[in-house]
This record gives sequence, structure tokens and C-alpha cells, in this order.
Amino acid sequence: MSVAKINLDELNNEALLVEEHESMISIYWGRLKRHRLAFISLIVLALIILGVAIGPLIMGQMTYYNVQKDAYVNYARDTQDLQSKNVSPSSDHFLGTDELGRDVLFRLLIAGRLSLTISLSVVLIQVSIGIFLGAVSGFYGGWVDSLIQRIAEFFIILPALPLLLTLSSILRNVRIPGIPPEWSQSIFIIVILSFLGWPGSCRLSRGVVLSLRNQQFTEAAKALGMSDLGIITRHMIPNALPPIIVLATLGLGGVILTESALSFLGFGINPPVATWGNMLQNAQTDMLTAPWKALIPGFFILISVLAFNYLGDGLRDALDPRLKL
Amino acid sequence: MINYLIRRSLQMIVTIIFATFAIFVILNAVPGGPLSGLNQTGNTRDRLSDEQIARIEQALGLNKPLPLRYLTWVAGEDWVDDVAAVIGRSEAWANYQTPRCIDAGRTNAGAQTDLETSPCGRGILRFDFGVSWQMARGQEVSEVIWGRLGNTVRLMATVSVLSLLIALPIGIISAVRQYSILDYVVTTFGFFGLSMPVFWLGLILIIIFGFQFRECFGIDACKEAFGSLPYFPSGGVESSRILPGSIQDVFGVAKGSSFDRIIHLTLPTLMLTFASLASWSRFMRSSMLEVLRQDYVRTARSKGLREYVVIVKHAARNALIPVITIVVFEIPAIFSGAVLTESVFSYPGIGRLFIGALGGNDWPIVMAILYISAILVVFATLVGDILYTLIDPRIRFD
Amino acid sequence: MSEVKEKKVLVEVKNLKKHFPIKSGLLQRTTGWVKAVDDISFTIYQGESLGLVGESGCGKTTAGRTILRLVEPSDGSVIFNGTDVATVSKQDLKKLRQEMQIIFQDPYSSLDPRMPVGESIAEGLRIHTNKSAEERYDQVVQMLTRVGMRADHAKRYPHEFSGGQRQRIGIARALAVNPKFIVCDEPVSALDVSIQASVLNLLEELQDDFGLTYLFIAHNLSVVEHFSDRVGVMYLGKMAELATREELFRNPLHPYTQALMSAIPIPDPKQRKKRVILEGDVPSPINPPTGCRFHTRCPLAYDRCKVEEPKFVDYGDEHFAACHLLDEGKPSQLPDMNK
Repeated sequence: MSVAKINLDELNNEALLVEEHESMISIYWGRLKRHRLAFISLIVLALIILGVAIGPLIMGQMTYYNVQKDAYVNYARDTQDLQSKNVSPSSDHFLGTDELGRDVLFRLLIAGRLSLTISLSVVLIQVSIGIFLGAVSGFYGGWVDSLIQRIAEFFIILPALPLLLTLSSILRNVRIPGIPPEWSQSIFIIVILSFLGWPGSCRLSRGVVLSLRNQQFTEAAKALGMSDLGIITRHMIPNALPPIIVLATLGLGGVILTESALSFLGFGINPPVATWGNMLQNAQTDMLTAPWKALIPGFFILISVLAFNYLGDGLRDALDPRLKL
Repeated sequence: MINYLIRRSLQMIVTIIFATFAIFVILNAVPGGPLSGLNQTGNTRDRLSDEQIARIEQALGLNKPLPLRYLTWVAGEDWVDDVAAVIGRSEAWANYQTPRCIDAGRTNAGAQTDLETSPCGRGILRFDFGVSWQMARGQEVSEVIWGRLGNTVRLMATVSVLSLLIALPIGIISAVRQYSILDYVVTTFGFFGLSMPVFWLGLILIIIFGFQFRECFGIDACKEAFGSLPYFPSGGVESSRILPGSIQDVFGVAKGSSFDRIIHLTLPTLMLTFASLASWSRFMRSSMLEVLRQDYVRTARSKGLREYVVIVKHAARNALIPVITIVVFEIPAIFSGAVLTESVFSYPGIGRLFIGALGGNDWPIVMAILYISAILVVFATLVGDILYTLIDPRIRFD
Repeated sequence: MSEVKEKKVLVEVKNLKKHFPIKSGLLQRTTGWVKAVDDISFTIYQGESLGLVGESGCGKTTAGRTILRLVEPSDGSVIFNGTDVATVSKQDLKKLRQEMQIIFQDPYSSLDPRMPVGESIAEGLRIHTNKSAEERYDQVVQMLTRVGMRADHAKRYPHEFSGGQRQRIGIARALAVNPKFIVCDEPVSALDVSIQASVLNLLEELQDDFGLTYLFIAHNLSVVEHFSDRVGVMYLGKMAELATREELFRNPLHPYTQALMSAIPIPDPKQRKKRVILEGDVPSPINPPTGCRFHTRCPLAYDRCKVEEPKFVDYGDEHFAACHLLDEGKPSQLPDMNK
């Protein structure tokens, strides 16, 4: 049989079937923009993040009339004004004051910083642990898989809220030496929530990896001499990422809810440090006289969690592998 | 099938054993410890001497080495003497028994004849959770829990039934009329339900139906005409006295009657139902959507069956399968909700007991509740799994 | 077709076995074995193309993967250029990987969907060389153009290509590390017939240009007929017959080979050919038949076939076959069912 020259025309015809090249990010972005609520959520989240990031900086430079001190003072988290406790919203205090005469808006913004930071850290940590363990578990199979999956199942099966409460209740008196107590409290909360939260992303990434393990591109990488770690990090994890991004986005909202519940019950971050959850703690006693104290922090929790959930929903559609890539 | 059941049950037992271990380690080996709160009073006069602490430790059984403490917590202390006698260390080991057990003669001679009244602990595996340290000092933990259990079960049962009754029809209708205004409202409501802090909803309910109703929302005309709107109690299980203008007063409900209890249950139920309603109606909707796409539904339609029959008999029945198992899985989650609800409404159930015990370092109660809820979750998972494999013939048993 | 002048052995497969355990029961004990590859031996000469044919499930794909040690062999050895691939250490294996590559059957799963194809091609260079990103890119472009693609294709993702193009990309990836030996695992089976020819031509051209050695796995003889210097036939994890292409097609010794051969369509209605239809299905490799594995379907089987396994013997001019009839000097030709 003679070697036929490659027919270039035929090849070009094949190439013509391909439409203009478009990068993956721009495809995803276009799809996400079409999901109106997700797009609005993205804007809302950007505003909230911007607000809690620079809001306190600006307000910290502004002054108000502190009745107790009979002077104009800067807004601050812990500056009290016992002469104007539970004052309703006014031009000095846009969202009123709390039971110690502290400005609710300023505390709200500061609290937002902490709530969002905690939520982001927890999700990052638990997703990193989850992805890695899941990828290892799915890739190697055998006893490694069984062990990791039994542990994950065990964690899923544990009664979450009671256990969280127990752990944080035990650790509430423990301090990490050398750092401010509020940090040490936050670190414990982050550790506890990450510790209990990783199995979700672990199972997800295991599922993806299991389906990828038998794909031929994994074998190709092995045939090229790539190490197992290389295959996991270069091929498995990037492929497992889209569903995990969705899970993580939804998780951000979930962690905000859990942390606020813990703090509300008094087992999370304790005052005077402010989080959205613990600002609701004392709201109950003054619900009649100062309902804004109960309404506003809760409203912020609701809005940001709602935005994360809608964004996650939109991302789920945008990253859906069943749609043509 | 039998093989599968045996394996699942074995797994369940192993899981529970691990759970007891985890609970024990968390509460006893983590820094902090049960007695760390004791000497935190700033007042030096109230501080306890080392001797006193040692006595407390002895009384609470905290002087034992950790492994032995775990074993006696799980399996009781009535066997300690026997084992000690066998390995010839009776003297040392006898000191590890609680005073009650020692008072009974250091042996279990009396105990063995009548296990029910044995002064020695029988261990959580035999449902003896020991004695409360703080919340109800000296009382059996099982009695304390039993006394609160009714309230929590009433709340959880009402919520489960109510949520199912509302969520299933809503989910079905919303799926059948996909993209209708109703569907839009239901899905939006679902998102709100998932995103809302449950305890915040409780606070709002109290503000509106408790305080603002009493104050007529601050509207003078309303106040002059009615004095106050019939308002709800903001907490508790029953009234100690009927307040003028309250809903019980308006409807002439006697204090402590079952109607009084139902009225107290209303707001907590509303709050918890809202939370589970959101996720359950979403499950039902997506399951129904999945089924409606199937060929057999199209076949049923093309046979000329009435739409009602197609939806109720063919689609909804099949769509219920996954939903029911998910609901079984989720029932323990209601307990988590109950912790929050009971705190917001000062409702004396297990959840509030748990919070109180945590706050007061009442370890036996905390460990008992953790253990019971672990069993509950494991059991619900097992039942859910088995239901799933039984209902769905496509699942293989291995 | 390249003429093999001097016969230098590149790959020598000796008694290669791959058995997969079957686990079942409460404790997941091993209750049986799937004998996917069961004691096969053959050699591949440098510069040749050895075809490996058999029905699906006969173990030919597993054989290819075991030779490359993509799956660990259960027993036996694969001597590649003097090194035993089956027992070589991890570090040495990594070096060996450059020399032996594989081209896959399914062009849709053989490329990572989230990686631009250029990066997929450069992957081997990244592992085995210290080349800079630019150098790697240059080589990727070179490879792409060599397989008939354009340089700007490097930045695109697999979903933007057709099956035939993806297969070319897969070839470029294998070629990028400059291998000596390539296992082609049914590289055209998943392609449209119109594109099959161009991919085969490309493979042939590359063989000449780079002096490649192929193990060409296929499930029918017609592709192999045009592509291989020698052809091996597998049945249920065993080699049935191995000979040069001309010899095998002129004088198939094993009854199974004859049956396979009769299944090749001839595009000429006037030409009549021998017709053989095998009874029954391929037995399960979990409990393969005793004796000769083919005896359950062989029209010529007799008592000895059921109890004794035939040896894989050279019947002259490197024409190997495993059949008792040949061993006893009896005729092994199947009767023509047309008569």
C-alpha cells in the first residue's frame, strides 16, 4: 500500500466545522450574565464586600455627638454612649444605637468583615481539604478510598449543630497565647467549622475523579510518565473544580448561617467583638423598644446568604458540563 | 438483600461505637475539660481547694484514667470489681467507683439482684447516662431528658407533619406549572427559606405577633378601638396566668389547658416549618420535574388519561420515592432546628436543655444528648437507605 | 510499506499475564479471577508494525496496556530494548515512558476537556525535559503542523475539534516525547470511515519519518491487512496464531483465524470466498474453557482439545499457532459452509 499524501483540502474542510475560538472563561461569564438573579447577586455581594471593607475606614474619620461624653467623637466599635441607649435611627446614628449606646451601623460593618472573613476562610479550608482527600480517595481506590469514605460518612452522620455547639463551648475558654482573644476565638470557630465541613466537597470531588480515572486522558498522562500527584493536580482537580465552585459558593452562605447561629446562642464569637450573629443576641431583650437591632443584622445575613445561594445557582447553570463546552 | 441488611447493621453498630468514642474524646480529652469553669470566679473566697476538687472528681468519676473512664461511661461500673478481682487489683480499682457505688459495699452484690435500682452506673449502652452535675443536681440524666422529651417530640412531630402536608402539594403544583407565577413564587420562597437565619425569623415572629400585636403596632386608632390585638405568648409551653388581651384571654382558653399549649406551640412551629418547608418543597419540585420528563408519563398522557390521573397516579407516586427517603434522612436535622427554636422561644425541650447543660458544664447531660442524637441520625440514615433500596428496584444490594 | 531489513528485536513479551480479581460477598473477598491476558509471548521487531486482532473482550487492549505497564502485569516480563518493563523501578520506568507511547481509541475521552490541546501536547516535554515555555510551544507547533493541524489550534480546547482532529492531537501528544515504540489501541475504530483512511495514512507516514515501531491493536482483520507487517490473533487472553501478514492471509493455520478471515467483506460480488460461521458466543474469561480455549466453538475440536492446552509453536518461517491438529500433523482447515 502506498503512502497517500495527507489531503489538505479535506483537513481544511474539517477545520471549517469549528467556529471561532472563544476562551472558556468568557463562555462561562456570558452564561452567568444571562442568569439575571445571579448577576444581581454578584453586584449585591460586591457592594456588601466593598461596604464592609471601606465603610468602617470612612466612618472612622467621621464624628458624631456623644451625649455621655458631651463631645464630638469618631465612630468606633466599642465607644459607648450610655446617655443614648437604644436610640432609634437618626442623622447621628443611621441605624440607631444598641443597649450600650454604640452605633449599630458601624458595628454592623465591622461585624460583616468578621462574618465574611470567617465564612471565606472556612470554605477555603474545607474545600481544599475536601478536594484533596476526595481526589486521593477516588484516584487510588482500595483501602485508602474505603478509609477516607468511612471517615467522611462518619462526619456527615454526626449531629452537626449539637456537635458544633459542644466543640465551641469547650473551646470558648481556651486562648491561643500571643494573639488577641477575639482572633483566637475566630480561629477556633474557623477550625471547628472547617473540621466538620469537609466531607461534602470530598465526596463531590471523589465522584468526579472516579469518573475521570477511567478516562483515557488520565492514562495518557500516566503513559507520559506523569506522577500520581501530577495527574491529580493537573488533570483531576481542574476537572473537579466547577462543581466544587458551585458547592463552595453555596457553602459560603451556609457558613454565615451556622456561624451566626452559634454566635446567637452565645457559643460563637463573644461580645464586645461584633458578628452579625451575636448582634442579635441581646436584641431579644429590647425587641419592643429597639426592633431595628433585631431586624437589621438579620436582614444583612439574609441578603448575603441569599446572594450566595443565587450566585451558586447561577454558577451551577453556567458551569454545567452537560451544556456544550 | 439479607447480606446487605447485615452489613448495614454492622456498619451502624461500628458507627455508633465510633460516635461514643468521638463524643468522649471531644468532651474529655480536649483542653478546657469539665472542671475548667469551676475556678473561674474572680472572687478568691469562692475558689475551691485542691482537696475539694479532688472530692468532686471522685464523686463525678473524673479521677479514673481516661480509658477506664470511657469504658465505665459506655459499659457501666458494676463490672469493675469483678474484673479487678480477676486481675488481682481490687484495692486500686475500687477507688475508681463513684461514692454511691462504694457506699453500696464496694461490690455489686446488691446491684446484681436488682439492676433497676443499682447505685452503680450501668453505662450508656444500657441507657444509664449517669447523674446530672449542674442543671438538676443529683437527678438521673435519663429522667431529666425524659421530662423534656415530650415537648421536643410534640414540636418536631407537628413540624414534620405540617411541612409534609404543605410541601408536597406545593412542590407538585409548582412542577406541573413550571415557569408559572406560582412556580416563581414557590422557588423564590424556597430560596428565602434556605437563606434565612431561622432564629431571626423567630425573633421577627415574636416582634410581630407578640409585641406589636399587644401594642397595636403603635397605632392609636387601633389602641382606642381594641386596646390590643390578640397577641401570642413569646415563649414557654403554657401560661402561668392569662394576660389580659392575649390570645388565650380573647378565646377564653384556660391556663395550662391543651389549647393553651397549642397556642404556645404555634409560633415555634411556624418558625421551624418555614425552614423545612423551603427545602422539602424544592426536593418535591425537582423530583416531580424529573418524573414528568419520563416516557411513561408521556405514554400515560397519550393513552388519553385525564391530566389529574396522570399527575397523581403516575407522576406524583414515583416522584415521592426519593422525597420520602430524603425526608427520613432530614428528620434529625429538625432536631438541630429545635435547638435554635427552643432557645428563641424559651421552650423547655431537649434543645434548650442541651444549651443549658453546655453553658453549665453539665457533661453527663451533654454527652447523653449527643449520644442519643447520634443514634437517631445513624438510625434515620439506615432506615432511609433501606427504604431507598426497597422502594427503588434499580438499586442493587451491594 | 517499510521493508524490514535486519530483524532487531525491540520488544519481547514473555509469558505475560494479567488477572483481575473479582471481589464479592460480605467481606469483599476475592472469589475469582478474570484472566484478561493469560500467558502470551511474542516479539516485536524494530521498525515493524505488529497487528493484534481479536474479538472484543479477548484481552488485546489489556495486553497493550500491560506491555506499557499502564496496568501492572500479574506475571511474566516485557523486555524493551534490554530492560524488563514489568519489574523496572519507578524512576527508570519514568525514563522509559518517553520511549513507549500509546494512542487511544476514543478521541473524546483521550484529551483533558479543561486543558488547551497545546498544553496536552506539551505535557510530555514538561515532564521529561527542562525546556522553557517558548521552546515547548515551538515544539508543540511543530508537532501540530506535522500531524496536519494549524499552529493557532494550540490554544483551543478539545471540544472545539472534530473526532479526527482530536485523534491527530492525540498522535501529536504521543509523538512529542520522541518515542521509539507506540501502542495504537484501535486508533480509528471510533472514527467515521471517511476519516479513518487519513489517520491511518498519517500513522504510516510518521512510522517512516520517525522510524517508529507499532503495536497496532484492532478488532477486525481488514484494517490490519493494510497496515501491519506481521499479525497476531488473540482469543480469550491467549495467542492463537502469529505470522507475517502475507503468510497469515495466504495460509491461516488456526481455525479461529480462518473464521475471522471469512468475515472480511470483499468488495466484489463475483468473487466467492469461503464462509465460516462460528456457533455460540465467546465464553466468559472468568471461567474460561479447559484445554484449548476455542474448543467450545471449534467445528474441528476433538477429545484432546478439551483437556490439554495446545502449545504456541513455530510451524516454520516464524508462523506460530496453537492447535493440536497442527501438532499432530492433521489438516486444520475449516469446511466451507457455502457448500
